[in-house]
Parts: sequence; structure tokens; C-alpha cells
Amino acid sequence: MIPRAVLLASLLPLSALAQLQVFQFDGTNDTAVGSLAIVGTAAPGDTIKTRFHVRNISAGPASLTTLTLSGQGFTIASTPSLPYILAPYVGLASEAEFDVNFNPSIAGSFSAVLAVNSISIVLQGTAVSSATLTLSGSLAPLTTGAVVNFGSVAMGATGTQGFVLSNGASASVTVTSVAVTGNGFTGPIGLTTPAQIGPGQSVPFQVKFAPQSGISYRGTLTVDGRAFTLTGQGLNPPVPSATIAFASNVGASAQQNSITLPLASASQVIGNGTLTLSFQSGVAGVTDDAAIQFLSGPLRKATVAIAIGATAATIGGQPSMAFQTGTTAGVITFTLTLGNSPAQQITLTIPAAPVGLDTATAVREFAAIDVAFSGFDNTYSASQLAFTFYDVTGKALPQGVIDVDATSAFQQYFSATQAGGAFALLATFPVTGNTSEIGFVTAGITNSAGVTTAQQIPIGN
Amino acid sequence: MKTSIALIFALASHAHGQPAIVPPQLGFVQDSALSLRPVYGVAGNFILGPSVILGKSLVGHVISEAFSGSVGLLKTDSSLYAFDSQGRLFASVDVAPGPALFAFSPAAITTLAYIASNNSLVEWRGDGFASFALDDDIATQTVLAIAFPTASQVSLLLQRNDTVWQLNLALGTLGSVSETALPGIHAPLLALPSGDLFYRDTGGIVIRRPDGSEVHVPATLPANLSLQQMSREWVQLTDLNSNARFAIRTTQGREGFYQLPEVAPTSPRAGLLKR
Repeated sequence: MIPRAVLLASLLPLSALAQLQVFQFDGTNDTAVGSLAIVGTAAPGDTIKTRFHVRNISAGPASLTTLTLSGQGFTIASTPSLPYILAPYVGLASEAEFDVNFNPSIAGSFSAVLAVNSISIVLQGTAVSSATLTLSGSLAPLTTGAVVNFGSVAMGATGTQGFVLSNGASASVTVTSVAVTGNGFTGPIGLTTPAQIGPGQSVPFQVKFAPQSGISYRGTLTVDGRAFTLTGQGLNPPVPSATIAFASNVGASAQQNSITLPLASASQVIGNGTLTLSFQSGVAGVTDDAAIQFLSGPLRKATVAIAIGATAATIGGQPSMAFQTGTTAGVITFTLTLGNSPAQQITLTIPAAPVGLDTATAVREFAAIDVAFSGFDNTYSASQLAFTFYDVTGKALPQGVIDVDATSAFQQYFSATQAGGAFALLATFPVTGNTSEIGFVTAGITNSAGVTTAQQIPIGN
Repeated sequence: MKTSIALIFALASHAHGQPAIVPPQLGFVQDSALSLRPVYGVAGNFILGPSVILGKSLVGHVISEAFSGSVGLLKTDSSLYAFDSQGRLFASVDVAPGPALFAFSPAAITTLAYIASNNSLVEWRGDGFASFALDDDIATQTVLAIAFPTASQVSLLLQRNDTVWQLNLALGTLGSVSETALPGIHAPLLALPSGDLFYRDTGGIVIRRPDGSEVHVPATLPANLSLQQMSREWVQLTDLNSNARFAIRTTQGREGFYQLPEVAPTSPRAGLLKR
């Protein structure tokens, strides 16, 4: 019995021994087809292409010999050359593909019978009267199933595609539903359904694509049951590197400077970060100078933001951030943290300097002369004062230089003040004689970095 | 020089009972929270002091203020206050609502406030307030600034069509003494006791000195601004659309434009006031 069966099998056609299975392919996945396959809904004149895969699910080779279609509105668009030998299924490469077009000429329901060897499948499609869908700026109608590619869009950004629904017929058409599905896609925007479109009229709308990560996106635009595929690619490029740039690279006390953050290239993504300021005092016993601060927003921490297309980051919402350098020698450090990039730092050194005088005045009082000056000592080490008075002819008074050791007075002041190295000093000189004969005074002040002299301070009244 | 002149040095007191070395005070500003704050430091390094408490009810209610260097005036919606360099209250008086314009006499001891809402002047004489009504026709014009060139004369700077006019009045009498067109000057503007006139032009601020010479102080100015006297040689410029405040130094030969810190450090700055 067994040998006879083997002989019979060897005489039968190859295809009769093998088992074929038909799948409907959506571009990504195969779905097994039974006796009925729905190809979808199209408008008259549209073409829906449906892709089918044929697998050999037996252990031996099989031959695809028959592929026929009968029925109005359907045609076979492409087939492999028949007979086609199928090896046992091991993957996509071992499948055969054929495509069927559904191309109704009028509205209604359509069906056809598809024969694949001995397998018989009923294909069903629906045609509905509807508006023609085109891309904005294009006259070419989109056929059902067409793919609309939004291209590459950076994370956080939004790509927009315009569409137009047109009615080229002689009677009004009503679009009852337009829907957008799929993560990353939103719409329709600017369209309310049902929308009645008169003959020769058109209605625009938009669909937006806003990827949240750097992956491929796929969605569907459905117009009265007609499905159109939406695709887009999310981009996740790095935030371009930023440079910390000072308006002036000269470090000195009592200066207002500003920072900008130019980018290495126009940014394709949104970025956020912080810019912080810190100060390392160079004066022994002085830990900080609170006047070293940003001039707007929080004192020492500013938000940094990068917009798409920007060539520079904003700081605290502004193109630049002003700061002041205080009145204490030391090092100001700015730290920029941007996205996931490593923090970068830049420093501005404020060198120790002789006393900086901001104002110097002398006033003639009753039996006295007041000499006042204000300024800053960024070393907190002011010590010697030297005053020389001159008469109205410019001749020094016989007292010559009046030296005063003000070390302890300054030390006492600097140990208690919160004004950094800024100070105002008032010195009174009791005068015996006619104060109106004194014309001007020269004042010198010494600190660890040098001597500063205020020349010829006129004596005012 | 007479040989009888003798000079003896002493580190003196700035004021009674206070040490000879103190934080330098640049004046007072009205901050974005409508409070009055002293400003310390030097040009380019400004430190905002704590809100001056002229009675807690004033914090957040200052709608106009100015300071001469020795005396200041402050306006809330219903009162006018005079204060000293340490923010201490001299006196107050009930006045009409709304903002005020201020001017100081050259000695910066007596001050004037113009209150547009009832077209009146209020003078602080050092020991009390006095009010003066103005001609009704002034109420129909836009008073941009006032000046107090002498103890008996007040100048109103008026906008008439495209031109600013200076209307000089005898204080306490109705009717003008004289009036002069000030071509080329634009609002906003401010008159200082020194006779300096501040106004805006393209690219900055112009200081017109009493001799007619002008100094241009380059600055990127906000679209809407106001000017207030901050002290003898400083003017506050307020961005009316943001929290930004600026300071203009008026000292001859050292004019400059600076940005004031927007926020004072949160730590108490009591040390700044211990003098």
C-alpha cells in the first residue's frame, strides 16, 4: 500500500500536492485571507491597489499556476510569471506577490472572484461619490491609499500639509466625515463636517505632524471611508553647541557687561538649559560679593532657551543678559548647561586693582573743609590717605602732604558692610583762618594694588 | 596765603552719630513692585537696598517719586510724602489721586509736585506743605515735566501740538510770566535743579545743559519710558512695559547709561543701612 501511494504521488501535478495560502499585505504585515477580502472604499475614478502574497505552507515545492479574476471594477495589476514555483515558506523572500486594482467607474458596491490555483476568494469594494482630494498647490488627485509624506520634522516642531477637497461634478457633494488618526498627526484643521461642496467649489484643510521623538510615524487620513496614508519622520538631532561670549573680555570691577550664547549652527530642535553665575573671591576673608549678579531675572541663574532655526540662545527670554562685576577681586564663573550636553564654563577674572574713585568733592564749611569721595577698593585693603591743599593760586599750603593711616577705619567698615568694596568717605579738615583762600585739594588713597590720586578737587561752597 | 591757616585731619561723620566710611548711596528708585528702594554703589555696580518703610502701608503703593540727593517726594494715590536721605518720613499731606511730576529748587531743599488730576502744585518747604491752584487752561494741556528754577518761580513744560513749550509762572499767582518754545525737544523729558533738561532722541538720551550745549548718551531705550530724578547726579529711567529700570549719570564729563538690578538679593541688607 505504501509503495503504491508513493507512485501515485509522483504522478500528480506539483501544485496538487502542495498547500498554498493567500495573504493580504498592507505594506507592513500579512493578514491571511479567507473566502472574502475587502479592498476598501474608493471614489468613482479612484484606484485602490490591494497587494496579495501567496505562500507555500507545505514542506515541498509548489507551483502557482492559476491567477484569474472575474468581476467588474477589479483588474489584476501585476502578477509573477506563471507557472511560478514556490519553495516552502521561510520568509518574505519565498512569497509570490500579485496586486489587484479596484477602479470603480460609478458609485455602488462591487465584487469579483479571485482564483489562486484552486483557492477562490470573493473581493468586495465600495465606491462612493465624494470630493476629489488633492494636496494644496497640486492639481493631481490623490487616489485612495495614496501615501502623503510629511518628510522629516524635528522633535517639538510641527510640519503642516494642506489638502483641498474639490467637487468637479455638476451636483453638490457632501463630505460627511474627515478624520485623522495616528500618533503624531492631528487634524483636520480648518474643516467642519459635514461639508457641502457645490459644483466647481473646493474646501481646504490642514493636517499637522508633530513628532515627539526621532522615529518614523504612520497615520491615516480618512475621507468618507477613503483612507490615505500619512507618513513622517521625527528628527532628534542634537542641540548645536553654544559659545559663551562676553560683550567685553576685559575683567574689571564696577563694570556692566553682557553675555550672548551664539550657536554653532541654526538649531533644528528646541533646547533648554540654564546659565549660572558664581563668584570665587580673591580677597582673604571675603566669601562673596552679592552685587555680582545678573541684572534681570533671578540673581545668578538664568533660563536658556533655543528655538528652532535660532542661531543664538536666549537668556532669560532676551538675546543677551547683562551682569555687573561687583567690587571685589576674584573670578566670576559662568556655567552653561544645555540639553544633555556636558556643562561648559567660562571665567572672567577680576584682577586686584588700585582704588577706583567714582566721585570726589570738597566743600567749604564754616571753619572747615569737607573732602568726600566715593569709589571702590576691590582688595579691601585701603590704608593710607594723603591730602594736599593748595591756595587759589595753585601753591601748596605750607602744611604739605597730610598723611593719614585709615587702615583700621577701612578694615572696620569692610568687615561689616554688604556693599562689597564700595565705600564713601568723608574727611573733615578744621581750618583756622580764611577757608576761601583754599582753592583745591589733591587726595591720594593707597591699597595693596597701588595708589590712586584724585587731582585738583575744587573747593566748592 | 595767610600762615594762620591750619588743617587738622579728621575722618568725619556723614551725619550725626554715623561713621566716616559708609556705603555710597546713589539715590532712591521706585522699583517694579511700586516700592521705594535706596540704591547704593558706584557707577556700574549698583546694589538695591531693602524697601524703605515709610509706614508699611506705603510698600507697593508708590506711584511717583523723586529724590534730590537730600530730600525726596513720594506720591501714593491719595497722599504726598516728603522723606530724607535715609528714607525717613518728614511729613505727609492728603492730595488728589493719580501720578505726580516733581521738581526741586536749585538748593534741592524745597520741592514741588504737580498733580494733574486737580491741576495743582504742592510745595514742600522743609517744614510743611503748601498748595497752589493753576489756571484752568493748563488743565486742558499736557504737562510733561516741571522745573523749579527759583524759590518763587515754577516752569511747566507743556506739549502743544508737535512742540514742547516752557511756561514760566510766579508761584502762588495765576497767569503766566512768560513762555518759550523748546524746538527739537521731545517727550518724555525731565528738568533737573541744575537746569539740565533730559529728553529722548533716536539712539539714546540727550542732556541739554543750561548753556544750550547738548550731550548725547547712547542707549538702547525701551519703547515706553518715564524719567525721574534719582539724586543730584542720577536719573532713573523706567521701562513702562517691563520690570527693567535704568540709571543715567548726569555728571559732566562722566555721563553714562546703566542698567539697574531688577531684583535685590534676598538676604537682608541691613548692613547697608547701619551707618
